[in-house]
Amino acid sequence: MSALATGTARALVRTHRTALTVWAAFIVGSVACLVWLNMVTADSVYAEIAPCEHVQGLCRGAFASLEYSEPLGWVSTVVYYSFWAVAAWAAAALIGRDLESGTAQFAWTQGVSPTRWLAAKLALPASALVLGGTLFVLVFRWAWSAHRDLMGDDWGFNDVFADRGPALVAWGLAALAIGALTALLLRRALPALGISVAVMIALNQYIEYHRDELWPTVPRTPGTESSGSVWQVENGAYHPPSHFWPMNLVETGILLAIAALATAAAFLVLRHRTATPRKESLA
Amino acid sequence: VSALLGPGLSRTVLRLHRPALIVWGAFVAALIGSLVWLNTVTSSAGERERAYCDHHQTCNILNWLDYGQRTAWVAALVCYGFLGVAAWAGGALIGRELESGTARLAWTQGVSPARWLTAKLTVPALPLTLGSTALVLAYRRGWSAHPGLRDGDWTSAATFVARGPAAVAYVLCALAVGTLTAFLLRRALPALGVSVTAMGVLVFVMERVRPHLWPSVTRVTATEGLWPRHAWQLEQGTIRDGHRVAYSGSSPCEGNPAQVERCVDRLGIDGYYSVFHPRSHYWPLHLVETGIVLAVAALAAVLAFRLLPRRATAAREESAA
Repeated sequence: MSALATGTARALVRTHRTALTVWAAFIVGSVACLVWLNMVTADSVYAEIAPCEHVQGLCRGAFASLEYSEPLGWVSTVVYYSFWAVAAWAAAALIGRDLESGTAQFAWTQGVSPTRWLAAKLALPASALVLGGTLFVLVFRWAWSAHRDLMGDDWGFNDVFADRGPALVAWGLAALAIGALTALLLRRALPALGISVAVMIALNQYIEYHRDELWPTVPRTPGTESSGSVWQVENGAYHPPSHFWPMNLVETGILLAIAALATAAAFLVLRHRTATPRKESLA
Repeated sequence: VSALLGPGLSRTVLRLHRPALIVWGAFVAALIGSLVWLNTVTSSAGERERAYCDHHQTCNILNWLDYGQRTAWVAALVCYGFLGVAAWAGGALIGRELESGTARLAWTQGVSPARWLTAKLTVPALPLTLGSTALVLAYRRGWSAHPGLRDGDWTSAATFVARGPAAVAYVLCALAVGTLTAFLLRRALPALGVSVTAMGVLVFVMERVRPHLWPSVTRVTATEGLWPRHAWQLEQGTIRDGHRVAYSGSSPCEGNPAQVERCVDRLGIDGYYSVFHPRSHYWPLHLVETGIVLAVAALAAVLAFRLLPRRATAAREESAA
């Protein structure tokens, strides 16, 4: 059993070596970018800004902070939306292609039960997503708070909100599960790719639109000036920065529930699909 | 098209890609529908708010903002829709058939490789051109209908493309680039990923070089002047001892006239300059970009055709053996 399991895992790693390499390179590259920006770029930006304290008016350094904030914003955005690519890959390359070409059906006749096949297919990328995502979140939390004076963003920005907590990992896992489910329903690689990406974009838009409702707001208190880092909602009500964790964890919970439902549905679809042929082979 | 290729071949291509044709038709129809909705229902609510705001201290601008944001979304979809076309062309149109061997089978069934590829390119090119032209016309109409409610000017990246033939050129370029990558990789999913990436890189580069596609205008003034309305500002600064010094941020000398005069003397400012594109440069800039993108499309198509005969010979040799 365990020899078979390691065999399945090894075959899986070999098939998706390219994808694993791309994911590892993507995470390592993004982390390296964050480290470079905070260790090297930030210092040179401060050196450019420093003379401005003594210059009245014209100062070349005034916009130097963009050299730091722009690339950091790009890293944050690209990693956040990488779940689109996860959905595309899971639907097309991980599951859809194997079902379309018959590789999966062949594997099921070679002593790998459909359930174990799908479990292995999901467990491996899931652990890569959890590992890579967690590493990025930890580094990003440090990188984002290191030089706040050079940044113009806020904790409520769409990408920053997700990247600073477990919600980022949850987006990846939901994309994996939705991708697998669409592929099992459609059994064709390219249509599954298109539909799973579309579903994830729609889900993301919906959740981003309702993000400020994930936790009760604090009503406006007359006479007090709200500080800069609050998330303003309608009618003066707002989210203080302390709401970040509850909001992020509620979103994580919703996404993990979606991922769990999609995974359960995927196993049900698989069992339903494979029930008939097995009876046939018995008969 | 059908006269050139025979009705059978184009009909086959159409039947095979009927779902894609339906998706494209729905995409075009949905965008045009939302533009009509935006420019009738949302815009009249927005204009009412704007009129109210002119005479009142506090006012609601929700529909006004909604109009601007949603129009910008439509512009983004009209402009960047070609990424989906690149994915489809690389993956479903060519890559899948080369991977599964369907293409090779067709070449042995009396359809010459060149005719096969011509059909594969021209049959989708027609609805793609028609649909994206309709999108551009609809977007242009909407964009100019309510200038007061707009979010962003003619210079914003997506609007710049969505208002002219460059949007059509990008779509055709995506078709050709997808085909070329499919021929280079001969596998559906890698071709899909690479062609989307290639088109993404192309549009990223074009957005960076865009202001340099036509000579800009430099205006030198003795006092700090106002910008021409709706100009695309590229650079501005002061002239000191005959040298241009670009602003970084705001104007160097601010305050009351006496303070400004003292500051100007102290810094030795002789004049001010600004480099910009007036609004009249939209068409030359846009048409140069269209030309470049069409040239890339033609190059990719020619390369795809040049890759073709070798494979056809290989296919013929295989079937002969």
